[in-house]
Amino acid sequence: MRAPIDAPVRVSGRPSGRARGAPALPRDWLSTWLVLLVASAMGFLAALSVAAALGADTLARGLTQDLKSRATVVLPVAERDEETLSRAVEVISQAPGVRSVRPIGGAEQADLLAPWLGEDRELSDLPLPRLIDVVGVSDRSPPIAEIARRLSEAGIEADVDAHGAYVERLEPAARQIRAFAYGALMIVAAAAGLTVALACTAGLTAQARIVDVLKLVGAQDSYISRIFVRRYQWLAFLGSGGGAAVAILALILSGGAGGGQVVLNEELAPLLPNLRPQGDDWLRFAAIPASFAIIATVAARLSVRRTLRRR
Amino acid sequence: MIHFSNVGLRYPQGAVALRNVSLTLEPGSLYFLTGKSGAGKSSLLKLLYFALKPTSGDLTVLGENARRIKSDKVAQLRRRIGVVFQDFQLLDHLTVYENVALPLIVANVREAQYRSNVLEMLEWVKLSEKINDKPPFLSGGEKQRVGIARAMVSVPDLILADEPTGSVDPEMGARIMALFAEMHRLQRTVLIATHDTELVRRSGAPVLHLADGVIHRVSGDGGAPPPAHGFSADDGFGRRMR
Repeated sequence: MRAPIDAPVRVSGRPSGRARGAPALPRDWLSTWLVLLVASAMGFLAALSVAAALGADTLARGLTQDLKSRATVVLPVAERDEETLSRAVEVISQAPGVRSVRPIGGAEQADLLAPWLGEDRELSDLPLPRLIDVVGVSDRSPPIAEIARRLSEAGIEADVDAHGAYVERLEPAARQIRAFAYGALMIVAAAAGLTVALACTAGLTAQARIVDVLKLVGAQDSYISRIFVRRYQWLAFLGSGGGAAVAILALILSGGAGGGQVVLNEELAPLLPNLRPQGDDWLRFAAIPASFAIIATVAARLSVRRTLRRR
Repeated sequence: MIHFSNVGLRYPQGAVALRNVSLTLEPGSLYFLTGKSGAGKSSLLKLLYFALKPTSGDLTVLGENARRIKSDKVAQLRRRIGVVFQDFQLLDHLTVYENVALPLIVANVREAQYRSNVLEMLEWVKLSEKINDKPPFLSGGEKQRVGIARAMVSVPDLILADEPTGSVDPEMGARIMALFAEMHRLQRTVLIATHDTELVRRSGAPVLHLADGVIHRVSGDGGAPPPAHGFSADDGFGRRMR
């Protein structure tokens, strides 16, 4: 102030508390609720996409770790006697890089075949091969060639089935699922940005008179931009946070797809990723509202500046 | 401060508002701008606060050429210009206090620095009782007084007023004119567009008459504060402002 007024001021009224933090924009319930609802829906979808991506990651990691470190030795029907089985187990146990060797018993074998042969089928009369589960040390693949060589030298005819081949096929599939999930996340983010940009442009049009008055009293474009951006930034943060919270709650209540008991067939559950947030996942979910606020900031700023330049 | 050199203004639809206006308003001068409705008074004021650009000639306002000025500079200059609009241009969602403080709020001045000025300005225009009211609940005269307080709260270098006493009673009109006179005494440049011949006569200030887009200087040079301008701020407002 170039000419300060230092005399006591006699006034009977006082500016109210709200007056001091003067809101520069009037409340606009329609656009407020629209942006909130759209941001909530986007936050919900974003949380599901993040959960799917994390789930695909977990599944791929779990499967590859589990399968990569295992191999199955198959003794053909001709070699299925207990003595050959014991010899084979001993030979395999002595191979370097093998952590454990375990013959798969009849009951376990019956479980494995149940989906194809039925629960109550008696297997003893079937000419089934004997299976031996081999686990490598330090989660590494067992030495397939060495096991095969030793069995051959011991005169035991056997097939050694390395699971790494399945892993090689599973890994690209898991990568694809992850790529789809992150792709969906990008689309959701782009849609959120566009929504905010459109809402901002509509807001500027609806409040053109306010913008004009602000400019007439000396407001710079950056000031006007800031008050619009702040509004949509906050709405995007709140809306997406709410939507993400609902999605997380839904995942927890449904047991996560991997839990399966509620939403999916129990038998499929172990094959599905667990979508329930755990450990560091919470940080990624917490980043959703912050990311939406950043997207809203950029979208609103670009939209407002472009609109103001045209005026 | 303000220099018109053969300034012309033609609207896109073809109507000519100003023709070859040449005029200089020195810093600290006070002028009335008179003329019939449609004579171009508001257009001339719009040129001065950069709402319009001259279509010909050169116009210099506060040292800036109005035809070549960039938009970011306009905002800076408008902070040095207080405008009293005929249609008030108040924001309905803000209180009287906030409306008056608006030029300072957008200039990022802290409330502690402007609060007493705003309150005193509101006291001067007799709106102290209504600081928390919003414009939709004010009469036309009250809105006009809010607009006047807003235009002067930052004690700008240039004050432009379009029919500032059009909606107020004679007593308030005199009080508002005293406020303009005080701004003049503070060496602010004041240009008041009005139809009110009685107001002009009482003030004794120089008059620019606008007819058919052409300026005619009727009286005086607007330089020294008129010794008997007919309005005074005898409660010490002006002394405090100094």
